[in-house]
Amino acid sequence: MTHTALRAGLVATTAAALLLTGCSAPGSGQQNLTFSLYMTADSPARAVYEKLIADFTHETGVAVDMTYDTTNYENNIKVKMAAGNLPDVFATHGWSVLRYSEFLQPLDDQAWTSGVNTALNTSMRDDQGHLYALPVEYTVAGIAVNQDVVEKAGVDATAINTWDDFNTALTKVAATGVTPITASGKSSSAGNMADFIASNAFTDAQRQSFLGGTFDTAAWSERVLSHVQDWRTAGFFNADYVSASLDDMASQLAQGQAAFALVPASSILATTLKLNPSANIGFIPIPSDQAERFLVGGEGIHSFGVSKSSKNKEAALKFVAFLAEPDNAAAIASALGSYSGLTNVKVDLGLLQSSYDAWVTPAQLPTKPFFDRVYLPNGIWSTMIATTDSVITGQASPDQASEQMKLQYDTLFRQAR
Amino acid sequence: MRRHTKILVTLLVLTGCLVQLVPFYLALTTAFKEQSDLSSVWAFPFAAITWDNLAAAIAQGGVLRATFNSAVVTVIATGLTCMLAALAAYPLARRRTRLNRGVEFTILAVMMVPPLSILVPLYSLLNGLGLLDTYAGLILPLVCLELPRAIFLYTQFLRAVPLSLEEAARVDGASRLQTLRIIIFPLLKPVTVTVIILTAVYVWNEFALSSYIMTSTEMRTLAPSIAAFFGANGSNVNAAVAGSLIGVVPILIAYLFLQRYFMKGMLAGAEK
Repeated sequence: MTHTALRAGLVATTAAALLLTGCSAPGSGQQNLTFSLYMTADSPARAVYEKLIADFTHETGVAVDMTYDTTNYENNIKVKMAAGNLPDVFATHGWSVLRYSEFLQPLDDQAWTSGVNTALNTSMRDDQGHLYALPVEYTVAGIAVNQDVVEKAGVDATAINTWDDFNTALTKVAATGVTPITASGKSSSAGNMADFIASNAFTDAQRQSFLGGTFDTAAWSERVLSHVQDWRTAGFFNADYVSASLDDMASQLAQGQAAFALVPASSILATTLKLNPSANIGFIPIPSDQAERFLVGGEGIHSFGVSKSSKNKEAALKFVAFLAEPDNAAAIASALGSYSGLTNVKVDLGLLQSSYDAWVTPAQLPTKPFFDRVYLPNGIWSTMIATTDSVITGQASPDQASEQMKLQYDTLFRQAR
Repeated sequence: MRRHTKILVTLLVLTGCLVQLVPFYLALTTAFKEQSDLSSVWAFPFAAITWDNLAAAIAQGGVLRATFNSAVVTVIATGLTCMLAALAAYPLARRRTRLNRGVEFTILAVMMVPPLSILVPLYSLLNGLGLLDTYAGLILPLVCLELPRAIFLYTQFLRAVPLSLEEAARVDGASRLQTLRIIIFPLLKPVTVTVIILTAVYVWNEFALSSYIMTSTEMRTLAPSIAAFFGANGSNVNAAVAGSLIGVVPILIAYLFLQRYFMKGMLAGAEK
């Protein structure tokens, strides 16, 4: 390295640094609408959003800057929220009321709200009945199932009503040499499992106890984690649980190597069908020992709120109304392969249509909200995953795991107060 | 060296090479395989090689643009870190006053602050300055985070440089700045190479801050671009791996051209 080269390097670095300090993102300085999505780079919905944005800009002259994020989306929005820099329109991913309502513009006066499915009232309206997001996607979850596998084991999955029925079905499946339940230690599937069971496991008094700041350790252990413990003891989980990812679960379902998965259908079935387009899969309601079987559901990831502090509020509301137009909302929901939260939107759900037709469309089964979102304090999700995981892997008994849940529950509840 | 010792060494080297190359081989089999191909990850898809994953990484993941962004951020952040650290280290190494010791200690203490613990104030500051989603908005915090270690390394190295060299230059009529430029800086090559390697690798792979600061598709750096293929509802591992392979290319090229300096730098450091 000669002195000349050293000098040139220093000068070039300094010049570039000064030059780039002035650089900004394309479009900054204009009053473009900012729109943040919880979506992967290769999501089929991306092209639909891009087309809709182009149409909206053509129609109104308002440019929209779309950004998307995946696993870091939630943290990113939290940072923006703390810094007072929320996007004009953003995906509320199931938390429009419980987490974001304080920062969102109530949307009750919007014309499209008359089409919102009333089944979403529990999860998407606050105590005063205000709605804060457009539910383009309505997450309805049941237990994902490979119909061919269960039929081969002599099980009628549609007739499973109670947890005893479910356990009998698991035993029959295991006897055929197929893994009864696929789960993954590298995803949040353990948390989903506990959430599914808990959503209809408790009495009203117990639910009020969870809501009011008292974690009922015995009830959590006995009514939720004991099921997980029984399945573990019986060897019903996949052998590669610890190293498996959500894609591995989808792969096992796709190849008929597993019968059931206790995760929301939207999380796994699309990938399963991508891996094996002819897989005979669907979902069934969640069994219960309390009254009747049920579905779990509520606000989907693709639900959009308008920031209360937005400087482009009028344009943002127009954009949300544009997304709510039946053709536009249908295009998004179709690309996502999800049920829509708007009753005037018809979506072709392909191979999953029969499951939706059987369980969701008749609206006869109760749809319970995700338990953690309503009855447990914000922030407990990771503990719920870790404690259920510890039961699946045999590191903790249901009682020990419940104690751990209580510790975190108490801490978070005190913080929230 | 005896024959059986040679064989043993050769075997060890081959094992080392194999351990290094296996992940690269697995990346190749994954990147050139259809997403729906459920065959073993060890099997290379000779019969059905697909370029779709590379195309997805480029078209949907914007990996080429992200690689360019990472290159810009890495080159400038590394250059600035070396320049500022060398300048800051000189007085700290040569003037051992109580104040300078305090400054040195404070700089070292900064290394203990986890970057994400200052995220919200940092984000607010960058927002206020209009630096979000800009190169400068990412380069400046990264330089600040990398400077303490670089200053420490330069300071320690400079302390080993004999003072008599500077005194000789002074006797020959050189000013302090001339001494620094003509005598001292050229001696810093070994430690500079070390700082370049450490800083460049950290900045190139940086994910945490980049994902908060560079949010638009056009400005995203490499790691967040690849992470964009992993979602809550499924992932496209094949495209992500294809993106990673594209992202490795600039590093490989840089290493091929600069390996002489890297090896010299490491050995020179070791000799001291």
